[in-house]
Amino acid sequence: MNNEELLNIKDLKVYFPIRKGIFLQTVGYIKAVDGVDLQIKSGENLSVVGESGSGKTTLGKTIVGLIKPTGGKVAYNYNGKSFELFRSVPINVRQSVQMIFQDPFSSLNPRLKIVDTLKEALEIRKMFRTKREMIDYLGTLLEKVGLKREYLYRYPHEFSGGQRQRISIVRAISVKPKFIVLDEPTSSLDVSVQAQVINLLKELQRELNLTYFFITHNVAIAKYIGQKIAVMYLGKIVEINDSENLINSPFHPYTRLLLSAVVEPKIEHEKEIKVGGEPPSPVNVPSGCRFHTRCPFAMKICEEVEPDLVEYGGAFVACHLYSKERTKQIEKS
Amino acid sequence: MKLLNVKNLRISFKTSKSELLAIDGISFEVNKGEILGIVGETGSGKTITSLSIMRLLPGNAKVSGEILFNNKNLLDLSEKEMDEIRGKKISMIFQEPMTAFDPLYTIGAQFSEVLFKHERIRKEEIKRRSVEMLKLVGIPEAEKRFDQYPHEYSGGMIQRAMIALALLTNPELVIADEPTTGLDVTIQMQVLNLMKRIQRTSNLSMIFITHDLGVISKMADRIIVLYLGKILETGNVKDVIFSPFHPYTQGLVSSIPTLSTSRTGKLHSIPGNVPSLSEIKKGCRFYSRCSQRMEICKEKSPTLFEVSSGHYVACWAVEKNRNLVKMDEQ
Amino acid sequence: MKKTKETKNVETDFQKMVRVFLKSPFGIAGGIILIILYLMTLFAQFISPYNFTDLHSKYRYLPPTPIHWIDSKGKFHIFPFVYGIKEKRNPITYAMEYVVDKNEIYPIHLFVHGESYKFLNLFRTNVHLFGISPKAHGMLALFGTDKYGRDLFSRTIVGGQVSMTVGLLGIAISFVIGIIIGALSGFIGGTFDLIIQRLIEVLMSFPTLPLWLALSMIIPPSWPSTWVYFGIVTVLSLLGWTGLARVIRGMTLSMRDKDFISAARLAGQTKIKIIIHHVLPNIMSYVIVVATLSIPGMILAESTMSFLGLGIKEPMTSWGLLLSNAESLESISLHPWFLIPGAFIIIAVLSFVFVGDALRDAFDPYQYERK
Repeated sequence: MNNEELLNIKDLKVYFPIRKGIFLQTVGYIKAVDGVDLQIKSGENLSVVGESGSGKTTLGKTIVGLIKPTGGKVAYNYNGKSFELFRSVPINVRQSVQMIFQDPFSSLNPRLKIVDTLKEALEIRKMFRTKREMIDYLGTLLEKVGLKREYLYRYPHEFSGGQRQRISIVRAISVKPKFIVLDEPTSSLDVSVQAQVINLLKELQRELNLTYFFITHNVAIAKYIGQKIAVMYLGKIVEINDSENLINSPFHPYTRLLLSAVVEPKIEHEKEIKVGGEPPSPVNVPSGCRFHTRCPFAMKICEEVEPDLVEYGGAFVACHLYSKERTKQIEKS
Repeated sequence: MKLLNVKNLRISFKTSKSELLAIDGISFEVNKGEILGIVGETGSGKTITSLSIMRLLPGNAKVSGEILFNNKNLLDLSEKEMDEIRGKKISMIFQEPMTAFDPLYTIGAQFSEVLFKHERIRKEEIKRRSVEMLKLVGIPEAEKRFDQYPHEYSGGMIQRAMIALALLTNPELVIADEPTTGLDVTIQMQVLNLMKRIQRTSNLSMIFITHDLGVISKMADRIIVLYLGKILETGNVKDVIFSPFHPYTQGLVSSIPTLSTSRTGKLHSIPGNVPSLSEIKKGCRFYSRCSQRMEICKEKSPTLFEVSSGHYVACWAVEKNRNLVKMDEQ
Repeated sequence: MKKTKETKNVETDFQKMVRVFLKSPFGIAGGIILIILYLMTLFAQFISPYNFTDLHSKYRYLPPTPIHWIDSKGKFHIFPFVYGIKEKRNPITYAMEYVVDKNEIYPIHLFVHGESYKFLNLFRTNVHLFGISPKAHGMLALFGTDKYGRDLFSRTIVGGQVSMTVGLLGIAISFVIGIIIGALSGFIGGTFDLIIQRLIEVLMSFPTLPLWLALSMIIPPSWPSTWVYFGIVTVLSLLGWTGLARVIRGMTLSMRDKDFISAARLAGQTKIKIIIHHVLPNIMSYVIVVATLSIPGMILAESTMSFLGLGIKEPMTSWGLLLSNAESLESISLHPWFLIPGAFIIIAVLSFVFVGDALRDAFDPYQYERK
């Protein structure tokens, strides 16, 4: 594992215009990602947690180049050179970044046999001289993820959700990527299958020297996969820390809220946990700190000034409770 | 006191090729003021069970056994008598409230329809009771909300409205089918708190169906673990979750990563996939994935036996170990 | 509803489709009628007892000839026969009238030698499927004759060659235009999509009749009739692609965000190949339904144009052109058999609609779920 920087995201913004009328004038924006700074080091898995509308999936898709950023930059380093993946890049660079999707039912083309889905990327890359070698390679990969070789000649509808997700994993790792974005890969699977897929992902990561960008709403899985966890709220990262630390000593009030809302078996559920409000829509982002409408510690400054992500106690937190402005205020009074 | 008593329920579906046995002779009861949780994965038949209580199964379903509600067998009632019970005495909370509400009518209109159908009361009275119910489930500005359309509600609000609708006629039994599955964790917590509070204050009986062991351990008093149409384990929630006996329940409980799970270890997992109903052979339905299977499991389906007071397990291996222990004691 | 997921369906999509299609009696009936109609147009000259351009000046405006099995003496004939026809001037109106001559009996035979024609454009022959002796004093005019004494039955069958193929050819061309423009518009999106969509709206908002008038004016009157035929097809498809393009664009849009398309993009696949390999195969079934359902529109359009004298010209013929014989009330009341080609138009159009509807059901995935 080396610690070279793989991704450098600077002030990334992804806005989706809301259009109306016959000439489709833009009447507003959905600010899915609204100013994200992030560095990912090679071999260091990052988990991103957040609720729906937090922009975590958009962030993932922008990182792999499926969505063009509205502002800011995603720089991807490949062999010492920097690339922007939404532009046209050499095929080996393009294929070194892959994505595994949430819905196993829409991630495979229903009209193609598994072999035809899997060979597409390999043929573009011209990785094999003969068809036989390629089939052999794909068969070995299927066996590696716990499927059978003969599944190559079946259609997606013959498989369960868990099996499809394994096939998607084969498609992603077949091109020997360095970096994989995983968008809630287990959230639509049965509980008994979910653990298998998580184990498989972790095994592959170690064996193939991959780096994961793991998107999830489940904090426990986020911790299990990622060395670090980033918490997103309404298009912004509110806290990043080593996963153990983030869970054991959360700083940001939203992180605390999120953790307290986790329901797990085998714990006492006697007392009722207070969890207020609902996230506002990303079309009308509140002024100042985005979380102030739900925050139990909201102060005057929170409505006016948006807090920066600053280092505090080993973590990076965007909250006035820990910011310089706040410290100044305290000093004044 | 038993409110609902289901005896030897069997549900099968006729398809063009074969007959699939979705529920294979299950029995359970719901007592007054208790939440019964049903946990199961895809194909376990948890939704089919709840639909059979409401008599809402599609036409190709064949149902046998008894569903006694207040000692009346629901399966014997006429469609008209069932109409009196459905939505009035027994009501349902669905997973997708957005599809459960008709987008063309206001929430108020849909509340009024239900109230008017079952109670024939005056308009002002209907509105008063609806608004009161909306307030109870924590919807702010309930009077204004009464006249709004479903799309004007957020995801958490519409699920609250769904709960309010289910409680509107003061039902004796509420069936909640994955009521928080599509919700964000913070909203889920709010909705679960709300449901539990209302259930406790009005001494309601509830069947709570979910695949989420965390949610069920928060909500239920007793639970049923359903796998491919069979009850594998049932008992008080603490007994089943903290000291499960059946290999399936054990696997399920330990395969869920929690906040305290170590990052370095491997997650425990149940091998294989949930088989489809058409692949089921005789013997124990969990046989193909079981870590403790024996010869007999392949041949004979195990029946529930009591391991401790009120805690039942259907597993040959558990039964064998028990007997060995007993023999040792003797 | 959960069951379909649980049972492993080994039945392929195509088998499912056929099974659902065969459940629709209207679809089957429409299909059979269409097969008959197309076989008829393929062997038109062989089936028709006379050449469609041959004039029979002795038998103008002849009403459909009745077919008999029993003659005036009450004798039964194994072969059906027609009576001979004599011309007679009406003593009061001085108009020529046809009188049945019951003394002359002309049996209808199979494989009769008659006027010569080129079979399937391959070789010359004079064998017709059925007919009466060419030397007979009379005609076997099942649908009557027109003002030149041409056999309307033969003309209707040959006219079907134009009417039944104009829709197919037209749809084939607008299919190609529609797929290219629709798929690109949906997949590329942005300004390109905006311009294409507005262009389609402008094209669609034009009143069709004046547009046909204008476009058919471009076709020079000096063109031979086959060229005119292709001219008409071109006009129809140039106006007909818009609807298809819209449908295809909509479906492409819904496919564009599917995860397997994203995966193909991450594999570095080109846009064109993604459209060809992933988008089109997945929307093709719906496109075929829409295409089938737009054929009747083309058939009707050709009929309308020909009826108005803007389409197919003599000596070629089509159902629309044949219908133009019945352009006045007087003509219809005197010669009601001139309306028979209209019945063919209705039957063909309905058959396409039925088949299209049945196909739509067969392709509809929700239909399987209910099974």
